[in-house]
Amino acid sequence: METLTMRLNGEEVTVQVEADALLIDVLRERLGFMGTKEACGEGECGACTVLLDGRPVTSCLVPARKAHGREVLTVEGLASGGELHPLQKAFIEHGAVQCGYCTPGMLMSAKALLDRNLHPTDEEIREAISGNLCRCTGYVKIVEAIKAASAG
Amino acid sequence: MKWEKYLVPASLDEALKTLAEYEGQARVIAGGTDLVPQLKKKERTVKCLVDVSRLAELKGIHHQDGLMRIGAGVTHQQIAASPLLRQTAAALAEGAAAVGSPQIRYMGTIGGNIVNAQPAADTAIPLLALDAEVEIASKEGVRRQPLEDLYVRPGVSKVDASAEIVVAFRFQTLHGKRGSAFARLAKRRSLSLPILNAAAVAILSKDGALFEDLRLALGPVALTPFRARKAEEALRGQPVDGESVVEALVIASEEAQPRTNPLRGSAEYRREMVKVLLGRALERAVAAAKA
Amino acid sequence: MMSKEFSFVGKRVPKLDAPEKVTGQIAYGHDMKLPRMLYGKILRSEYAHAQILNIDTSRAEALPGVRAVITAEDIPDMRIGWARDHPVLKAGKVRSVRDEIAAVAAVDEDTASEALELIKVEYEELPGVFDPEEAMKPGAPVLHGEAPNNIQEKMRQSYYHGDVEKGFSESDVVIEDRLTLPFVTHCCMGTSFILADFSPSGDLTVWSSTQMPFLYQRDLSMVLGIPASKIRVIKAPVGGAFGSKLDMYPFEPICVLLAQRTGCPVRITYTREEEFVVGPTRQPVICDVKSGAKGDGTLTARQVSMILDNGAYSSWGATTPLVMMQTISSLYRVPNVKYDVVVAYTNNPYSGAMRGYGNPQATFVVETHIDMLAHELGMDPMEFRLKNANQSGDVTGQGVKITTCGLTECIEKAAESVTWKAKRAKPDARGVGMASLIHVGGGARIYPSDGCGSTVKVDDFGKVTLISGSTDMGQGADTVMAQIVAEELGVPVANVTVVNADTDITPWDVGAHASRTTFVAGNSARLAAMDAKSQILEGAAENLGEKAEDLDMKEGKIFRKGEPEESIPFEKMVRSKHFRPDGDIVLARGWYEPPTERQDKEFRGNISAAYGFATQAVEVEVDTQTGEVTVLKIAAAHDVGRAINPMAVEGQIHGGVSMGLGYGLYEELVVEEGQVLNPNFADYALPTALDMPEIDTIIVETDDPAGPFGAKGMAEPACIPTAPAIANAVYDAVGVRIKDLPITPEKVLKALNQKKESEEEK
Repeated sequence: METLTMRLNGEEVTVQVEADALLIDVLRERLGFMGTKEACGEGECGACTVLLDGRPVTSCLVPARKAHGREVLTVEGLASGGELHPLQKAFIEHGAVQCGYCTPGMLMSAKALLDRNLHPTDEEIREAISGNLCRCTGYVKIVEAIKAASAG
Repeated sequence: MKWEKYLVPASLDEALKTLAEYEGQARVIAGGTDLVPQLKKKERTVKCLVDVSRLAELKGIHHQDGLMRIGAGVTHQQIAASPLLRQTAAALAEGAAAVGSPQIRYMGTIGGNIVNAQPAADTAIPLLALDAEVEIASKEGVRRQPLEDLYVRPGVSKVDASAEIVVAFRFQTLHGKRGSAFARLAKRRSLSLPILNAAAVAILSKDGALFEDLRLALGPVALTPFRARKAEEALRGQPVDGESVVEALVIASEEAQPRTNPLRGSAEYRREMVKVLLGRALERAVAAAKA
Repeated sequence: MMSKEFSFVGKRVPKLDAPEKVTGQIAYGHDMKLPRMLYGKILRSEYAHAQILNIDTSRAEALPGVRAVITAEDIPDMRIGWARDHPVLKAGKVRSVRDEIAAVAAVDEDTASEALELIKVEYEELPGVFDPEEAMKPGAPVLHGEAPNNIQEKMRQSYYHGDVEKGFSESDVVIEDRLTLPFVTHCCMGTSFILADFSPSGDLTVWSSTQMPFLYQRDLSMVLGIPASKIRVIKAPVGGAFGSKLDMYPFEPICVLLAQRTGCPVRITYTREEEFVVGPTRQPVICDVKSGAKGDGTLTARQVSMILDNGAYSSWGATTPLVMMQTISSLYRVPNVKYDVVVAYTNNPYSGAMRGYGNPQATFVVETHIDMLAHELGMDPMEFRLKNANQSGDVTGQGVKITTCGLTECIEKAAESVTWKAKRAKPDARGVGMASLIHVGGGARIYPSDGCGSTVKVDDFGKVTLISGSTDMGQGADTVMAQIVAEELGVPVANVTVVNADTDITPWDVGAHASRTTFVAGNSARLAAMDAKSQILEGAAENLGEKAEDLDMKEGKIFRKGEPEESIPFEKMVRSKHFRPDGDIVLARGWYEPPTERQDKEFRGNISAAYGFATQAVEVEVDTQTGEVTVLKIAAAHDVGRAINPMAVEGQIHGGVSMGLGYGLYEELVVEEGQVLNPNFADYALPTALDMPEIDTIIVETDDPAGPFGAKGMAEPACIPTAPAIANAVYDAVGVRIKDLPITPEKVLKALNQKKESEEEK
């Protein structure tokens, strides 16, 4: 077992983990943050995307120890002060959610984009979520929602 | 257990020592985007992982006196977004931008992409065209080796990741009448391996009319990333827009030995695409050199 | 047509469960855990066809943490699937790489996986057969003793209307072709799962990803011998379904058996690789088609002969010819039709239901030939379609009664959106193409009942609960049901909660298939809401000394008709009805059974109370050097009767178009010698956000008299015409006809080279 200390959704967390634990397993199985979804386990679908020091990573490929001393943001950390994040609101209002399984990862990729680019073009939005597969929506309303949540 | 120990050394020296202690049972991990799936699927076994992704010695994109040095721990994202590389080594920036997906590009490093030794790795092909050299650190010190000599076969490089660490890549930047470009054909626009990729470096005469020199790289058309040397030879000293280009592309398609892959296309198709993709890369490289 | 003013119908109401989903709070089956829960894993065959000589589970059983290991020896002979040709655990012989040989329950997934590796199976490999045409030849390896010719005889079907020979003899143009379609698969982002738990008294609860809770309850009972009255099926939130969860598969009874044996709850969730290798597929089709038309563009005859690869066992895939038949008989007015189909067993993965249920294949065949006929005739393919388009009031040769039909409007609007006339038949490498469809839109009577039950409960505080038989797989059925209840009852949508898919609680429904939920469950919910409204108004009338028929209710307020200014909150009336001597609560019911019939022995009959139509027009650009096809725009005009929730309708169209785009250009489950070569998202290429073109969704409303507020089913259709529309656009762009999906760059380039060669020869 190894000690892992990270800032998870703004709070410092210390947890004992197996040496070969992956970040997604620590989040889901050890800490109960079930919002992060595993849909392929090979980094090919983006469902498990979280932000590591603000950068989108597929948590199914991240050895948990890589998160030591760093900031991790999951879908559970998007809302603050009882208020949904503008992206969450936009996803609801624009019909960007169907089955919802890709939604947490999609939101995290979108957050990473808007954090560095307040005025993305449609093409930049598509590019930013091109590592997140969705089978329900054809991405159209997801792109619309991200656009709506951006500064225009 | 996928691995028993995960160590994060603070310096290159410490990393090398740690590897030595494990006597071949440890392995270097950087972004992990290739290695972790291999370990999960038990395609590889390892006792200890030595994480080099935070080593300062492996960071940075530096340019001095016409020589570019890129740390092996630099991510694809950093390469793709570097204005310096976009300007002076466009093929590499374009290749890095084509890797996997945004997430993979944020995690994966150029060093890992090379050590993983896939014959069509999207950064290997441009690095080959750029005639890059690799700095490899081991207990014995740092050695430099041409990238081209690093490959053995798909998935196997001459870098012993249980004892050595790729530190950096070096190549001459392209300025003046020099230009490069990358071209890629894949099933879809993201998250896919290439059916074929190609990189071209063009070094033109002062008037921009002739190929003073050029380098052409292709994948996957052999067991390792491939230099189309016969085509290069045929074009050296020739006009940039004549019949000789067409002939050289035919030569390239003949010297390339693509294989049929039931998922990514027949040998016949890939061979034909050598002409098209290499032609496109070369055309853009020439345009860049003239600009 | 749009004269009616609605409060909630036709509004872009956000999905009821979206807040739970954007916060990560919703618990899918994969997120569910019960105390003492074990994890189940299944060992499958290494070979596509083999005799099992011995299974040694001793080492697995001895592994610490393993609680049960079962093989066919431990259970009675159990067979599933409509043809009962599929043993749950295989004894003696394995017929595909999916075949379940043993199952393990252990304390965690890693232990269960490790146990599987410790099970030793000795096989004697048998020659396999992997091509349905080969399978039907004499001397081919036989899969099932009951079918010595490898033909699933129950699905050998022949349909006709009119006389095709006469039709062809009267034609000015007759064309014949062979078209082939690949294995593709659903790629639900959430994989299949089941969690089974027995109570101390032996009652079984399963949380499942099923789309058909009630048929699933019946199937589980039948195979396990547990009375259905002791089985409760709850459909947990699922990450997509698209037909994949329409049947019960071996892992499901296996999970129950593991729970029974261990006395612990057991959960099985598929890995992505399992979902690809073991999950159902859309079946490949080899199709010979012959079509004829007169010089003036009148369709005369259509003859289709199909060979379907059933795979090793019969699941719903084998029954899809029943849907294909409708398109072949009834898409466009065609007086003479003949359709023959044979379904052959092979050692390939077996096919299931997938969005469209055969219609994507049939529509590719029909619409490719419609386009080719138009070109043979020298007609604009759009004009040719308009000339032969189905119309409201038509009864087709198969007895399909078309009540409302917006096909003509769909063709015209889709064409207009891509500026068809300006872009067609231009010498550049860009082109336009279109394809249309017919699909059931008012249920599909394939079972003795095609109905759905609903209960509406109104509590003392004005909270309205719809308890619906319907199943929401993420498409948004719950939201549409809530809108229908809110509209009919006259309360805000925010007051309505929907409970569904729990066989202990919800009234019966046949399941989420055939694009029937909005139509059938919507009508049912509407009836229950009408009942609730009259109960409330009757109570109010008594209380106020009025006549119920003089009262009305809107926005949660009761008032005299025509005098909405003076109103009483409806919950007050509900309470006064409740809290009085001889009082009563508001508890209402609705049962809707569509007015349809089952097909007769010649496959004739009107199985749906309404039919949906659509046309998609596509603009493409072809790279003539690489053969790459880029889709620039897709205009999707869909006759949906009425869009109860336009945002949800658009969402269905976008998702369907993306699935159709994948079918057209990218997707193929590559199966060689029975092995799936690309069981991952890197090699099985569904479209990414970067691959999606501009989509213009055009909602055509025909206000169907039988639909709830005029709505017809529309969910499957969106994926159906996309691939043939793309193929037709490729022809318009560069003059090559791809008759084999997907349209890969390599196929296009090869066809271009052949075209060049044959032109040079001329």
